[in-house]
Order: sequence, then structure tokens, then C-alpha cells
Amino acid sequence: MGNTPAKESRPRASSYSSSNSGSYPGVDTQPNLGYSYNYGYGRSPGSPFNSYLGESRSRRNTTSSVFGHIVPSRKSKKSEEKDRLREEHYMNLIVKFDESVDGGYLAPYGTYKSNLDFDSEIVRGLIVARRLAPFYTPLQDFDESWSDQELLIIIKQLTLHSIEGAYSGEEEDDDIDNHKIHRSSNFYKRQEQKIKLKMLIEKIKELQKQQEDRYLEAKTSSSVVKSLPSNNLLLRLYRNPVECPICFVFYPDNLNLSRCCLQPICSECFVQIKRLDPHPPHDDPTNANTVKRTTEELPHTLISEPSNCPYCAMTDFGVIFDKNLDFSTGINGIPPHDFEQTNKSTPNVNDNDNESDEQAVMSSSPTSEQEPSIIPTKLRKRRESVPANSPRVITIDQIRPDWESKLLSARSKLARKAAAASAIHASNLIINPETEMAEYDTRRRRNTGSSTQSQQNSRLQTMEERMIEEALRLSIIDEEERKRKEEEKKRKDKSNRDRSFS
Amino acid sequence: MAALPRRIIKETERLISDPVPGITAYPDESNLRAFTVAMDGPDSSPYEHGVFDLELYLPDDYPMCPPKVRFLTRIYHPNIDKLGRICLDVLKDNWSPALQIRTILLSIQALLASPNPDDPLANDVAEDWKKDEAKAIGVAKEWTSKYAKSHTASGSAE
Amino acid sequence: MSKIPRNFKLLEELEKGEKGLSAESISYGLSNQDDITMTHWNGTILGPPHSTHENRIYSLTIICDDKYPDKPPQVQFVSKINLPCVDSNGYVNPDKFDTLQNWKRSYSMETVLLELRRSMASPAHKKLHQPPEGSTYD
Repeated sequence: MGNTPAKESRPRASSYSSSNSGSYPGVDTQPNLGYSYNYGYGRSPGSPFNSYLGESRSRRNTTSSVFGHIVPSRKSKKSEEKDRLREEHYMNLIVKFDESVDGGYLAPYGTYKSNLDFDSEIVRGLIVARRLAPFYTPLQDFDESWSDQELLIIIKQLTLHSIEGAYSGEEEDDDIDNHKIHRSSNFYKRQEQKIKLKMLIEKIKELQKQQEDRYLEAKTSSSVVKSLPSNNLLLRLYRNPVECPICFVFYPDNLNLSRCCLQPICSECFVQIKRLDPHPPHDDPTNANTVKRTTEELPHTLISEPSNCPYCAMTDFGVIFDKNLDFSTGINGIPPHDFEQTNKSTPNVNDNDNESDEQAVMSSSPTSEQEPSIIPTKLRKRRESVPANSPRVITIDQIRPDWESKLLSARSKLARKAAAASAIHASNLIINPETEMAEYDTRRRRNTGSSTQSQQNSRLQTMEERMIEEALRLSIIDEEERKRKEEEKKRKDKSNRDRSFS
Repeated sequence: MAALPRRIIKETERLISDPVPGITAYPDESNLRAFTVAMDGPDSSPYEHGVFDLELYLPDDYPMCPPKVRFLTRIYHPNIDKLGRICLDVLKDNWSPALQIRTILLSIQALLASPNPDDPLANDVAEDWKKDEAKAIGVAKEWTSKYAKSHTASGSAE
Repeated sequence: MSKIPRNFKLLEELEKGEKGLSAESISYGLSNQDDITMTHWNGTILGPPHSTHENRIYSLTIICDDKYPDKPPQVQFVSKINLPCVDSNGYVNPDKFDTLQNWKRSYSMETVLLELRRSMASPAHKKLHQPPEGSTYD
């Protein structure tokens, strides 16, 4: 995470990079060491030392204007703000039975325990506005032969949140920084953040449990609780559920549809979909020339692309939500308990109940052309693909607006690495100007991340070379340091002498 | 081990109750996210009549990230390296959570039927393939009879 | 968190090593690129600065048997070294090396190599007299 080359290693808030480089925590944390041999990253062998540093500097300037609010003087305030936002986010993930929309909730049930970094505030707003399907409690199984009574019993036994499934059995990844001789400047900050997060999750679990207790109390209470759904509401929602094609659990037939191919997707799966981490542009078979990679890996070429539709791979994935209910309960609606609409609507729904069949859902044809006649016609425009920029469409970028700052942060991180790498490379050139160039060039050609024959054969040798070069590099630095000190001493002595003369 | 997500349970049940023709996949008893796979080499490919063993693992984030799959049987193929690692877009960036174990295994089988030496993982094999396809196919056939179990001997019919 | 099976864990470790994503002061790779069982590995440790190991490069062999990563790997120095946890044949003695003794499934070969390096740099060990550079156990 945010390491600047040693000389400029002022502390940096790691806020923007903390969430997007999770796969290998602490990989690049040792300041200034050995970036030269990080094969996967951009370092142009021939590029002059100064121009590279220059580029990195200007890159840092541009990013610092973007991250202008993370300046050291206001850092503690900012980190407090960050903590507060995070706490708010996690609080938003608590499912509260008295915060409902049309029989669903504003927070996910807990089918997924990671990737919960969507903007929970925005998602809550969209659900309340009926622009995104609410998070319904899923049925793990469904059988059409169940009677209404059986169905109600099953539904009423469900918890608001799959708390154990979602939070249990944590085995933490090993943090390589724990095993280094010198820990990076960010190490303790990250440790602190980890502890804070752990405590926060404990707190959230506790609060969710309290919610479950209150929910149970309300369900078993002898007095009327207006925020609990009526039996009619539950039956209306769950009598003909649909299996989400991604998580394979059953939801009321009130799901989002992909804007392109009109396939259903539950909100819990939808908020999981995100852009890939910033990456170099894809290999184009037409320019598979490996030398080209050197330029492809330049930091500013890192790209981030909108997600594709999971069903039809159309770019700019987004969903539409044609609320196919003819009522509103909960927030901006009648109390869920007051929902009275009885079987008069059920026959209509039964008329097109075939969607619980997996094949129907998975088929590529639009899932339901035929609509229940009871649905107000204003919501029932004929369904067809909707362009990504339509105001009806909710894209994944809308619920994860931080992708841009993540991209910028990835670019600046790579730029710092590149700068450090070329600095080291330049000092290597001083030792051995002729052979080094050729060597680096050949090595770069092997550097495609896959295991080619030549790469495999030479990897061991290459490792040894790396070690030797690293050792040389360190001794040069030491030597330079020694010289520098010597000279400084001389200068001091001289100036002392000068002073004593004057 | 934490409870298995519903999706994994259902996928497993469906894989067993409605198997993909020419492919078997069973979860390991000790780890229900790990599968032992046996795949028939596609007809009229150099892998015809061979049965190839693979292993498959569903990481924590599955289905939001792809399953991990590799060949355990040695195979001569430009997109499969010596350690059995497979170069296939849907196992990487082109993964979609709407894909399943079933579809992934079918994609791998399709890769056996149509090698793509222009996007190689095993460079030496790919070069052989581009230089002299007939010869490469010969080697692939040879390896199939040498390393893969025999399809006919295993008794499973088409 | 589910338990990642041995082979996929080793593939992850291999990939991390191949892509140069592991720590820069150590390295590791398969001894034999054809070894589909991924059992035999080579490792290197760059001697930590400000110690008698400075500028030395230590080679090791690592064996990840079929119990890995439930059980720790077997680690042996090829380059001679004087370190309390290393026996006279170069084997790292698990009883004297905490990382192996209190092995966790989340550890990796990288963990072992970094911890060995840390041990080399510790105040108690960094001044230990070392065998001639380049000598090996046979």
C-alpha cells in the first residue's frame, strides 16, 4: 500500500488503497527495496532515470489534487471521518425488521460475507425510492406442494440475517509484513485498522442479534406490531417465488432485471457485482508482441472497465426494476401488518407462476412477457432492453462510485513502484552499463506471467541473479552513503575551520 | 468449516443427479468445496479415448470469483502447462457468476476440442503446434494413450 | 473461511513467486518444473544487512509433502549456516523454530523464509560466526 520511495516517505493516509489491494496484503510494503525485479510491473529498461522520476512526480501531483483532502496536517481528522463513514456503512448492513420496503429490507440477508463495500447509503436510497428491489429474506428451498400454512410456518422461522453463515469461521490471511525484519510505515496503521474493523464487526453482530431478539419478541407478542408483515403479505410475496440464477435461493417475484437481456437478479447478488481491479489493457491478439508490454505496463495506461452483464456479457451492466407489485408497504407505504389484499390477487399471480422453474429462469428468453393484469399499466411498459444511460437503469458504478479513485490510486501506486524501480535500475547501470541493458531486455521478454519453457529453465538462475544484483545494489547504497557522510564531514570540518578563521 | 452456500449445495446435487455427458465431478468428503473431476477427451480430437483427471476448488468468493481448476493428468495442449494449469478466459477475467461448475467443465472440454495456440500458456507446445500441427497432434495422441486412462477400458460408454 | 486444498495453495504460492509479488529479500520456486505434485522446492534468502550474513545468499530446499499446509514443510539449508535452529545437516529443527513448531495453515513458504531471515537478523544471532561463504552441506 501507499509507499513512497524512501526519501519522500512522509506518512500517507492509506484510505484509498486499503480496500483495493486485498489479495496480497503487504506485498509492496518494504520501502524502496527491490522493485526493480518485480516482473509483473512496468519498468522500461531504456528509459532515462530522470524522465521516469519526473513522470512519477507529476503523476503524484495530479493525484494529490484528487486526494487533496488527504494532507498530513488534517490526517487525523480525515481518518476519524473515515472511521465514522465505515461505521455508518456497517450500521447500514444491519437488517432491521421495522425498516422494510414492500416486504423486503434495506440491508442484505448475508448470503455473501465479502465484497460488501458497495455504497450502502445509495443502495438504501434506491430501495426506498423503489428503483432497486429490496433485500428480501430468501427461502433456501421451495416446493410448490407446500400449503399456505406450511409456507407461512417456514417463512416465520427465518431470521433477518444469516448471521452465523456470514460472519463465522474467520481464518485470517497471513500478513507477510508480520514476518519482515523492518515493518513498513503503514504496518501499524493497518494493524490498527484491522483491529478496529474486527471490533466493529463484533459490534454489528451484536446489534444484529439484538434485532433478531426484538424481531422474535415482536412475532411472539400478543399485541399488534404494525411493522410485521401480515400473512397475506407473506403469501402474496412468497407463494410463487423465483430462484435467483446466481445465488440459487428463492425470492418473491419482484426482482431486478438485467437491462440488456432482462434476466432476473436479486439485489444481494447485484451489489456483489463490481469492476475488476485496475489492470493493464487486455492483450490484443493482433499486437501480442511481448515488447509492447513494456509500454502497456506504464502506470497511466492502467484501465478499469465497467462490468459486463453476467448473463449475456453485454458491457455496462445495469439493472432495471419494474416494481411488479400493486401495493407499497413499509417506508412510504402502508404498515406491513395492514396489508389485507387477499386471495383476489393470487389467482392472477398463479396464472404466470412458471418462473420458479429453473429452466425458465435460466433460459435466454425474457423471463416474463406476460404480466399480472393487476399491475398498474404505468409500470407495465412492454419490456425490452434499456440503454445503460437510461434514467431507469441502475449501474454497478452507481452503487460503487469509488471506482475512479481506486483507479487513480492504483495508477499512482504503480507510478511510485516504477520510479523506485528505475532509480534502482539506473544505479545498476552504473556498475555494468553494457550487459545490464541486454539482460534486462531479455528478461522483460520472458515477463508475461505465464510459465514458458525458457522462463522456467531460467527462473532459478534468474532468482540467483536477482539476489546477487540486490546484494550489489545494497553495497552500492552503503558505499554511497559512506561517501556522502565522509564528504559531509569534510564540509563540516571545513566550514568549522572557515568559521574559526573568520 | 463454515456452512456451504446454498448455491454450492444445489450445484453439487444437480451435478450428481444430472451429470454432464462425458464428465463426472464429485466433491471430496473432507472438503465439499473441492471436487475430483474425470473428463473424457472429446471425440475426433487428439484426446479422444482418454479420460483426464482434474481437480476443482470453489474459493470463498465463489460464485463471485471463478473456480480454480487444473489437470492432474499430463496433457499435451498449447493452453495447458506442465503443472496442469489451464489458460481459459472464463477461468479468469471473463468469469461470470452466472456460469457454473457444469459450464466451466464444458468449456474446458471444448478447449480440448479446439486448442488455441495463439493464446498459449505452454509456449513450447504452442510453438510446436504452430510449426507443425500434424506432428503436434501426433504427440498429443501419444501422450493421451501414455498418461490418460483409457476411455474404453474404464467401461463408460458414449 | 474454507480450507484451500494443498495443490491450489501451492499453485497460489508458485504464482506469487513467479509474478515477483513475494517479498524481495527471499525467493522460491519449484525444483523441477515438471513436478505436477509440487513437492520439491528451492528457496533463497538474502542475508540481512548489518549482520554476519550481509551480502550472502543462502540456498535452501523445501519439501511440501501431502500433509502441507496442514503440517509445516520440511526445510533444509543447502548453504552452510550457523543458526541455532539449523542442525548439523542443514535441517531446520521444528522444535527450535517457532514458525514450524506453531505452524498455521495460513503460513506459506514465504513466511518460513522471511522468518528464517528475521532470525538471522535478530540481535542474538546477527553476530554469530559463519562458515565460509559458498560452503554447502553435502
